[in-house]
Amino acid sequence: MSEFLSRPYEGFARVEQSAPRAMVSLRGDLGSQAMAAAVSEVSGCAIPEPLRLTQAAQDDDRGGGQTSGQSGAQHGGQYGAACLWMSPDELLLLGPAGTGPELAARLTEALAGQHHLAVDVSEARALFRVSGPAAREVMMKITPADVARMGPGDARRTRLAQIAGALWMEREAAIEVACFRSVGAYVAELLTTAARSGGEVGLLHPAAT
Amino acid sequence: MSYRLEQGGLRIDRSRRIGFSFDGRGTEGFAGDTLASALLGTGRRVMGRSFKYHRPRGPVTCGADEPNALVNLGQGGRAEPNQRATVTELFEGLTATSQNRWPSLAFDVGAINARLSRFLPAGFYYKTFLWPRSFWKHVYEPVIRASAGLGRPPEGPDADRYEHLNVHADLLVAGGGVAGLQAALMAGRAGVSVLLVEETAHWGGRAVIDAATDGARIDGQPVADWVAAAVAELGSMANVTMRLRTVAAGLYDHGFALAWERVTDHRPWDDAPRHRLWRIRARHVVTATGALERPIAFPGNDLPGVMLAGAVREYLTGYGVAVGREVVVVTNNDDAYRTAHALKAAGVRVPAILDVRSGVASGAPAAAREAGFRVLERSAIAKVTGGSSVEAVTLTSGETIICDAVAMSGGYSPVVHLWSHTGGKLLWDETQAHFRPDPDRAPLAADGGAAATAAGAATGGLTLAETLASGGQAAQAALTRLGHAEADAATIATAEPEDVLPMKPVWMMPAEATAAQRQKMWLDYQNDVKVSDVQLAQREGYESVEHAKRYTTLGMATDQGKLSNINGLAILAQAKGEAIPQVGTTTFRPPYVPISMGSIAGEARGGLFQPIRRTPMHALHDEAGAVWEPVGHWRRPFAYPQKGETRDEAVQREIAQVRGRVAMLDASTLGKIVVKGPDAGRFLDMIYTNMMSTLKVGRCRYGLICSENGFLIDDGVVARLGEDEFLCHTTTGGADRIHGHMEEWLQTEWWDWQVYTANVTEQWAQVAVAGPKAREVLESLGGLDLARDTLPFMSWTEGRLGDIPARVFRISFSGELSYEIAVPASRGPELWRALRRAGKPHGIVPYGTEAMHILRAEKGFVMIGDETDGTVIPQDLGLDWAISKKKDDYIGKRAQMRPHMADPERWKLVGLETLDGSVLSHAALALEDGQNALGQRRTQGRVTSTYRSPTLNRGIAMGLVRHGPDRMGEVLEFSRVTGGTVQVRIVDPVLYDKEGKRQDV
Repeated sequence: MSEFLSRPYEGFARVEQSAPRAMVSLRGDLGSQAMAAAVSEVSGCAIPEPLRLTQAAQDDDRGGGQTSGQSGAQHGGQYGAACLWMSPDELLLLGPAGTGPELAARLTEALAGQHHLAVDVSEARALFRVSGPAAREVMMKITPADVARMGPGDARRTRLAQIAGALWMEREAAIEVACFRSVGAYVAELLTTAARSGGEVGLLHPAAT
Repeated sequence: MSYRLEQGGLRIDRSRRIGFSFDGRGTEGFAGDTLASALLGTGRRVMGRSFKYHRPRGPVTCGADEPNALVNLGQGGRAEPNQRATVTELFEGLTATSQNRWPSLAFDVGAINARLSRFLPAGFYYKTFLWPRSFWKHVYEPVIRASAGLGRPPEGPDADRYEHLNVHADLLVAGGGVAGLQAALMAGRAGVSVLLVEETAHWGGRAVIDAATDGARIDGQPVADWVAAAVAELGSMANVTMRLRTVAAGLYDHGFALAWERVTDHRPWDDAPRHRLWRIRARHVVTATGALERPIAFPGNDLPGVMLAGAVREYLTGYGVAVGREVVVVTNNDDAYRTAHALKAAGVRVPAILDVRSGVASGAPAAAREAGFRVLERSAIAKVTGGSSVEAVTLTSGETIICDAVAMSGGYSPVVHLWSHTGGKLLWDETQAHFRPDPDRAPLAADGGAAATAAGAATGGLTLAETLASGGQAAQAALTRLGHAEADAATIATAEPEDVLPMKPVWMMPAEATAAQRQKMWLDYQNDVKVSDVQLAQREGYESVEHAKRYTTLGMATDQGKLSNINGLAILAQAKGEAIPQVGTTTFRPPYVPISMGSIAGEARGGLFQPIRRTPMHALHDEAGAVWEPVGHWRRPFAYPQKGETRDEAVQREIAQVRGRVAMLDASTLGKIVVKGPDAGRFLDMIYTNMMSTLKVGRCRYGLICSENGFLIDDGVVARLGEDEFLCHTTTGGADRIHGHMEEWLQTEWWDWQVYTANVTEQWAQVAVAGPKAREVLESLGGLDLARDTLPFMSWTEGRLGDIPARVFRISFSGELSYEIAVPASRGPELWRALRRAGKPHGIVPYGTEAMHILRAEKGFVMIGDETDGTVIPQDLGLDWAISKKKDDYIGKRAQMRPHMADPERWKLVGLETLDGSVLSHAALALEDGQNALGQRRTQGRVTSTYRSPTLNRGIAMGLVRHGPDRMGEVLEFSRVTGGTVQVRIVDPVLYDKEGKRQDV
């Protein structure tokens, strides 16, 4: 994956380019048994509810709820498989880097006979992570999604300033951001601009000013 | 003469002196001052000059409605014109300069306009400067623009940063006066999420100022204490967000609202965004926006020192500033009596209170008499005299009173702007002579219920008791709308009801003013619109309030008529002999106050002005010295000039390299859409004009896409990936558009067809390798059998090219032996470098979009956007071969059968060859004898593409010509941009390798 942000940016939240992950776009009947079985078999995830994501149970004990504002250095490693709701007939599966073609092929095989489309889109995207207690405020400056109400398990396909993007939370205080790779440089500048110190809004610590 | 009192001033901190400069002179104010209060405190009342007559002007108000005290603030990258001194908070080092004066504020040459005012009535410009016509542009307008106008636009980039903020809330409360606080408290206690915004730097609004004079209490507490307690309670609620210096500027449909926060205007040294534009999505809105006091139109009412009574009181109570030493109060209502009491308590002389009403024996007037004021009933000002400041007032009784300031009050108008922005209706309240929100005709939400509820003085209920009650009722209504249990009325704070005498509307003072007097009665101070101007407009037939506004410029100043509109339309109504509600108001449009352009742009400046799309090989092209061409949001290399080479020379060299040996193109931007499903073939047969369902797996076919109106909108090569899976290539600009087109048809028309699509454009880096040596270059990378028969023309294969997983399409847009290689995007740079290495023995070079365009033009291939312009159908381009005759239908088929589309007179594609070998002008027209109905030269064709061909060593072109294909060899005359015409022969558009042998080797 191309490098859009050479090192993490520390503003009033931390912005970093995330390590690559496999991404597979999966379209089909989300309510079908076959779909649930295929997604579970390939990723270990359940089918998410609208605007939500599911995560595969992890072997170790890290769980999904831990606070990880300090992630970064070892990023990627601690993020497992996940399944994001994208639309009434579309999911986005996340898996280990480099397994995109294989995941797509396994899904296609598992769904043989069912009308579906599983396609590797790992290469088409750039991934970023905004983390820290005020991470939501960074995103509120660039997306109309209801970020303030989002928590771990929530996913949104939305707009990031002038481009299309997606954001989701796999754990508290860290927002994952995906965009098309062609605008990776734009999003890197957008996120670091929005996170610049002095721009704290103070919404997350309500007080009369 | 205004001055700072020895003590007092709720909002200032006398222990902190703040240095600032005005017109280059250093002076001081106190922390908490506005620029206006600080200047008044130093004795300066003249702060600017009016727009048209350059009359000296001082502040009339102490808030956002200020029309006069506009200044240039800041310098360099922070310069900003037309800033209202009344809402500019003082900070250390503030620099301001006055506007619209030359050479100085005290002596202004432009004031000569005032002497000529009788020759400059409303509509003067329209009437006077009609003739001669050319003089308007070159003489009149420049002179008028130089002498009129306000501040100067800043030069150079803005030094500050700005941002947007998206916020969702159950309830937006616009206005932090006591009504807004009351509403927010009840909503907050009920647990809904509340956003409370207040325009000024202070909570509690007017009530805090008034209570300092009248001693009013809320729930038995001093008003200031109640406000402090309310703010503290709201601040402790996690579900409430409160913001000062944030004005709700506009209300839109579906609960969308804009609020404008001035984050660092009062502390510009902070490294923070200067302004923040809040984009609010609220389920309900409470408009607790207060009321604005109205001036009275009497002769000389624009002299510095004539101010609104409420503003006089606020300067006194809030800032410890007296606007004069002897202040005459003139009023048509009780509220101004508070000002008289406040002045007296501060030791300022009030020679008289002039009350237009009669029989005022009780209430405020009686109390004032008891307190020793001289109250004159049925009294009116005949004129104010003074040079650049008030010196005396003369009453209609003939008495002259020496004074240096006049506090006027013509009653209050509720701020109904937000209410009206999305269609809330107004009622004319006869008793208070103002428009107020009609609670039965609120702006509507998507479900047909009320989108907003008005509260406080914004409802027309002006007393403290009424504002508190309506704030509470608004919260109850809002909670009901939000599906919460209605809040207990017992939790609404209360205040003692007041005994208020009815006001009496007075639109013109004196009522029987002479023409000369009416020319001295200002309605719109900033734009110098007077009573006489509105009356003239009516006489000249501008009877609609909207027409009168535009003819006179009434209400078109930066305050957007906050002070002048009601008075102006009352004058218009009088002139027409109609009632005010029949005349109606002008339209209230957002924003309520001017908001900065920077905040609208937000972060979108510099590198973020527009997202630029870059291919995976972008950096490599940059290193290779590419000159860029924007294609949609993409940047593509136009050409790669080498040292000492011009752009055109580079293009010619790149073409020669493709035709002669081999060259490579970054084709990653081409759209790639996967279409899969049992009905995929059937679907593509509808999307494309030709047949796609018969395509064999492993093969490619060129196809055309039309809109439902038959016009050609895109083209590209389709590859069949599997039995039920296709890959559709689109043009660079077409990927998103065509993907949307496919999804729209699938979702709205053929929702029962089993087809899924995915736009995978960016998953792949794609490189075209073209030229006679292309196969040799690829074979040297190894891994794939690319022999002529293994991978014939118009087929594709996949495997590994060298070490890289790849799909190889044998397709050609240049007419040469050509392969397009798609690899995972992240491996694009690796492929690019490998190809450059492998091609070295053949002198491989990259080529850009211009070479690509010329190569395809030599071959007569059409280009979407050149040969098409939204009016062209495939048949116009001779592409009938790509339109299936076997299919019952495809998108655009029926449209193409309409008479105009089937008309044999349509212009059709041909090649064009100048007899002298020159290059035709782009979009040049083929001339025909005679003239059309408009008296223009008739034409019979036009150029769509034109280039210099290095291969043929002359100009080549394509164009659309009437009956073109039937006129081969005919010579036409084409226009030239440089003048004259050029002789052009109609030829076959395929100018190179007609048999197509070169691409099929």
